[in-house]
Amino acid sequence: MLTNDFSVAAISVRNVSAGYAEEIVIHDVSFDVFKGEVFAVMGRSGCGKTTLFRAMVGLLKPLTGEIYYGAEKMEPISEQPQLHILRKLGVLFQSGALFSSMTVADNVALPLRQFTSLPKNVIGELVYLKLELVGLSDSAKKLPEELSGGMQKRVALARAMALDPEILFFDEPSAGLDPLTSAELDQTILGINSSIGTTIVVITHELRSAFAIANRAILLDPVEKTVIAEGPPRELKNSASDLRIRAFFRGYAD
Amino acid sequence: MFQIQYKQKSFDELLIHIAGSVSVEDAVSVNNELLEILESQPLKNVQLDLGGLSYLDGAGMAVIRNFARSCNKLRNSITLLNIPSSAKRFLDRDQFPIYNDNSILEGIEDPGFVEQIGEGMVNLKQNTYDIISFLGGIVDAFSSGLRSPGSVKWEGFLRLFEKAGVDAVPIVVILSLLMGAILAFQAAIQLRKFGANIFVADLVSLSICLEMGPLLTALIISGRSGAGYAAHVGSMQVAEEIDALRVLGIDPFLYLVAPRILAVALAAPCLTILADIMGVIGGCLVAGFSLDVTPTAYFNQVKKVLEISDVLKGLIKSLVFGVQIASIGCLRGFQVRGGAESVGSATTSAVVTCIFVLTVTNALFAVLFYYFPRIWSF
Repeated sequence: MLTNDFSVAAISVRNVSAGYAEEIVIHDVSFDVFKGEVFAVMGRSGCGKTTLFRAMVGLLKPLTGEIYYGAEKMEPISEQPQLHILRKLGVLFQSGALFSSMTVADNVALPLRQFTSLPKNVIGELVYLKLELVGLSDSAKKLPEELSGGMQKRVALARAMALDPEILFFDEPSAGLDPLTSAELDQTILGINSSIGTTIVVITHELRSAFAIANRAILLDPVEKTVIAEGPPRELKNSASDLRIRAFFRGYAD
Repeated sequence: MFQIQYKQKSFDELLIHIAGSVSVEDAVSVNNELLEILESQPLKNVQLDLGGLSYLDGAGMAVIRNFARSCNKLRNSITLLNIPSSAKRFLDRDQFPIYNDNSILEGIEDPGFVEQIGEGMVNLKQNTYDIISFLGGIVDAFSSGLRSPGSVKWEGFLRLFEKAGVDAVPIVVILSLLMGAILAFQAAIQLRKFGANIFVADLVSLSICLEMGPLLTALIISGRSGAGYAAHVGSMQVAEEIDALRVLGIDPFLYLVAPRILAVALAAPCLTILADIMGVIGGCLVAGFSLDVTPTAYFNQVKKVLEISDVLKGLIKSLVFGVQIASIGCLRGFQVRGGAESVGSATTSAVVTCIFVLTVTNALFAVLFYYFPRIWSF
């Protein structure tokens, strides 16, 4: 059962520093994502949003600090993949990351075949449902390369949602999409959140999208390399006294 | 957790109640239970009451749709009662009157026999066209490179030469040493019978310099550089990097293909000389150990029988092999369309094509050298 309880932490990030080789990209980042909320990780390009996202889903080992899902600590996938946690996550990568040698339907069916023992007929129905949800059931038999970028992204969303995960990650969902498609995707995200209470983490720099969907947001700063603001996006825009926060949320350079 | 109860409502009506929460974890057992009930009850009209459900996810809906379809298959009528509002979109028959048939997971059908022949012909035509335009592109690149040598990137060329040539030295050394030793060893068994031990030097030096050296080196280069170029250029094609070069006004043939052909064409003869030397040394080792031929006697015999012309023949061959390998690798890379799978088949195809073309070329050279045995005379 998924319950919307804005006081129970679904993900807790504690004092996480992460980076590559010699370069620390984010330093001492801590925050909570509550169950059932839409949470935005925001910041300018190069501030470490994607690094943080990769650390949260276990693709990157944090240099220091821990990430908890509920009470369980997330270990890096490369060291100790925790299938029971990964099973609860759905991830939509920036480029979609569809398997190019499989049809659209097989892409969506892959996690179902991997994690469930549902019979073929039921998997077929479920694939159809998920594709219908993103409006692409007609393209089920096509290969990813035959689809446009926006359509690929929607298929990737269908794949991420195949197992009805408790937490969905979106890495730059609107990257490469036109404003209308991007707004539609925002509506889809809100729909998922409200219908079954999925916790959603969106990595984005799109202000419009963040204002439209996020309950809360954090703002990462490329110079400080850490969180400089946390709260509902509108509040941050209207009441922040920090110049950097104002500049980001009002969208002008100082 | 979920509960399923059923009762006979009237003489041909079956009412099934499903309550609790149905999620992807329970979906398999819900599916099995529902189908069991359906098969055990011979009643015509089935009603499924969803009123008691507190949670129903996608897998649950899929199970219910599958159940409804099974009912249809058994010619039972099915009515869903109290559909939860969040599931209306997918379960309400008014909105989704047709339960889709299950062909969604069956991929593209395998083409029939005639279709395959047709496809093969189309591919042949496309492949021929690709090869001809590729050759044209190479000639064009080389002629413009000759006209304005400044436009060729030489620093990149040195890196390519290092990767195709210098980096291949260890494997070429080891394999050709072994090849020479194996040849000598096999010959030793026969030669010993006739007391013709010293002729092991003739056999090893001639077969290494004329055939094995150039061919072995060429095969190693196809596996390393031929496959590497196909994968590299293929990935560039997928990532639109080739298109980026084109719109920057840079000819991909001049920038990518020409330096690679030059690098491999130069590296192949160098590696072949090395392979020749190592092969002869390998033969010498075995001759010394198992045929009692001293190194001095061995090399004296080599000097007597091996002519510069023989070595040159091998080097000319390897030069041609080098040009062919680099061209085939790049050609297969340029032919990549689509994604990761296509890069994989381009790499495979590059190596296979290289082996085929090398063997055919080698045969042609054999005929050519038969009619023109001496290409170098003092």
